[in-house]
Amino acid sequence: MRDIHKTYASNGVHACRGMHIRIQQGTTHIIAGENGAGKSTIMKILSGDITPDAGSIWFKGRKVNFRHPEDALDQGIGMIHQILHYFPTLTVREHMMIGMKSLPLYARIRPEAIDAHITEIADHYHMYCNPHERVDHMSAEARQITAILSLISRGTELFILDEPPQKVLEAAMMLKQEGKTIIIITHNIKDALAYGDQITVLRGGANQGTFPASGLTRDELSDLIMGEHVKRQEGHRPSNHESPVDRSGEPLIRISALSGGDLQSQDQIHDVSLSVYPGETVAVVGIKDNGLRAMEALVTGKTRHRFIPLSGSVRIRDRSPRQCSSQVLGYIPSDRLETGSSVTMSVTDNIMINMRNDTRCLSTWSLPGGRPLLLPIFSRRALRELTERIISAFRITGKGDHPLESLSGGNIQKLITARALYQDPEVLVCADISWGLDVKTRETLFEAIDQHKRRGMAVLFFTSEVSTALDEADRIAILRHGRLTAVLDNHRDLTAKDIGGLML
Amino acid sequence: MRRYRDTAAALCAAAAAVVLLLTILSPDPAGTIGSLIRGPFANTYTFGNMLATMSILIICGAGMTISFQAGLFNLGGEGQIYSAGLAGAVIGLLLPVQTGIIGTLLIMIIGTAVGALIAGVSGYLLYRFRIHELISSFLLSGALVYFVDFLISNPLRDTDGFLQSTRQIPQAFRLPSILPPSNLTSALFFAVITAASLAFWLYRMRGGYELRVFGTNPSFAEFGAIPHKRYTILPMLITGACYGLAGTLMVLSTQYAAIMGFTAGYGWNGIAVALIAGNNPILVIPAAFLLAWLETGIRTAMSGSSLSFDMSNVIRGIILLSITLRLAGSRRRSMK
Repeated sequence: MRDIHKTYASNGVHACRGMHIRIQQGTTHIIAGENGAGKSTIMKILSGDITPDAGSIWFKGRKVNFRHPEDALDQGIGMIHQILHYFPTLTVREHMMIGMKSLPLYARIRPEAIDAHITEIADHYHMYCNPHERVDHMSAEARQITAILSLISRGTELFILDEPPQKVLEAAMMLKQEGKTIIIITHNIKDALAYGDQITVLRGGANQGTFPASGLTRDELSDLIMGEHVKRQEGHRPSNHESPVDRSGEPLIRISALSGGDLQSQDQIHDVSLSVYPGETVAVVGIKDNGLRAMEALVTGKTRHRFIPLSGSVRIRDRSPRQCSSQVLGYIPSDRLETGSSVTMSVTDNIMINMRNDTRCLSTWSLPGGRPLLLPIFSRRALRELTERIISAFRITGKGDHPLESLSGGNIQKLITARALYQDPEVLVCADISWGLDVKTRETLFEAIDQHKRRGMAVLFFTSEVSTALDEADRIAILRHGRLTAVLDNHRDLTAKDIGGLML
Repeated sequence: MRRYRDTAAALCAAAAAVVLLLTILSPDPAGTIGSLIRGPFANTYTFGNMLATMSILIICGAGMTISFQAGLFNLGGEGQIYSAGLAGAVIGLLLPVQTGIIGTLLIMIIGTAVGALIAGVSGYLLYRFRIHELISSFLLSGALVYFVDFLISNPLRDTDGFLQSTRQIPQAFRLPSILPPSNLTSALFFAVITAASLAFWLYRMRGGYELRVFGTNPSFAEFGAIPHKRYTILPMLITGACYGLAGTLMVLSTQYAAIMGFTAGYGWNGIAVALIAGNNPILVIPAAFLLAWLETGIRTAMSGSSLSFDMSNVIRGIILLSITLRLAGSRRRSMK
């Protein structure tokens, strides 16, 4: 790709400033960089999702000009996005059929015949996939698996993966051995070094250079990405070593013998009991589809149309989660874009969701006697100030009246976190909070949560990243097949291996 | 910016198509085009009538934006206007003339309530039984139209007249005329007030905010503890109420009676206006103006007899289609 430029018309962000990237056939090429470095943009250009303002793309020695992702797919270039667009009510099989250009005649009459084909590919790459499952009932990881299967069946030669989950990464490695070319966009330095042949580092919309992965250490790569030296304490542990959590009082969250979940899938929990005390962080770790999402939904009392409570109870202080206002229970959902925000509404609209009942957001009208009269009308000034405070406190790049979708993924997550913490909740429930975020953003978020925690907030967080749990939690609870297999104190000598053993 | 440029481009393309068509088919293309464009402004009568049409379109369109903003479809506009109009006419015939302005208000309130109630049924069915409001409102309205037809042509028919219509409501209840001899009345004020207050509610008040959240993302609404029940039923009630108000205003200011088939497609045009306005109640006003201009222009051109009835429909179709195409185009872009 030569001299690519792109400025987004909707918000004026200059995402690519003359980028050159060379990708060798048959290699794994890592695209690394911070949030907003232009990683996704450049790859969307390569996959035909957006058109560049200037510059040219050469593929297999020929100049190509993609106007649409379909053009790129025809040439054998396919991208799997971090956030997949899909048809919620269609099944895996139906999704695969959309991608198939020429369906064999028998398949048009008997679509079931395709199932065998799907399972065959899935088995070959050691992935699991049920062709009859509806996509909206699947986890984000399973959707990604569907997407890569679809690309494989179309004979794609160049795969672009945006923050792929582990399973997809493994499949990609097999594809590489078959001579396919893989491009991976990732924040994860460890993955980058483990899986990459070449690493290209982007910063501020420009290429900082391409390096062979074998010649780089973690620190060197981290420096290249951040552009400055960022201290990363190995084995950084939270405050519990300075001041152990006092568990003598009443717990803030008390989960007793809780069962329930999505009755149509494996995402269920059985007989889970757990308490979280003031000033404590408890991480619940587990592999996807082992009940994490179900537990998240049942503890917060949300998404009740899918996750149904069967027995047991959740008490936050002495109330049920549905009785708790956002001043008591802060929630950062795992599904940021579907549950945590409304991407077509403005940034301010997204910030004010919890504050809409607050009288501070309303206009006042001074009566002749000097007494203020509260009007049931939002005060534009108050909302603007609220937005300013949240934007500046978390250094979010974005404007209040722009649609949320004009923000980068990291900025959206900052906004959702800032919103949850703004009202100083006593309890914070958060899930997959650092998924797909760069190191800097991640630390900003955990730093902010830590500050509230020191003032007595209880944190319950759900994650499938063991390293995050080890870094941030005081106690780690392990969920396997919907049951808590262990609740461990996060001692200095606890390792990812110990936890991994209990998860699998 | 792009939005306005696209709208302008769409209108230019439509205009070019219309000119081309008339050049081929009309004996006097220049005259026809002239009366199409200038017609509504030729005299107070046509100008007033255009504003009267616009008033009704504003109310229907503004009401429709509320449903659309909540992600709901009310396809029962025709039946709601028709039933409310009949209810208004019947109340007008029953009330003693002495009630005067209070009677007028009462007619409007009851008509509005009738419209709201009919649409509310669809909202409730959606909430309680998950019956799609698009289908239930359409079917309910379809049935009501025939029922009202029956009432107007049989038990309630004015046997002295040759029209299929009820008797005329007393002079005392009719809305004052603004530009005689045209049909324009104070209905225009009601229309502008309706559009402005709905816009204010939608963008500056809590209920409107909650409705927009619910309409753009129901999961996010649940995250924010926004009651699901309220925002499946309330938007339907508001849309229905607006159609009801439109129905009674037609009776009070132009028809003075419930005439067979008087709704004349306003139920559908309300949807068109709301879409052209991008579901913003304030933008409904210029959108309604555009559509009213077109309607009145076509009527003038037709009465000048240089334009056939079929041709007028073709022209209307071309212009509406080009606007809709523009909308579809911009939506595809925004999805990317």
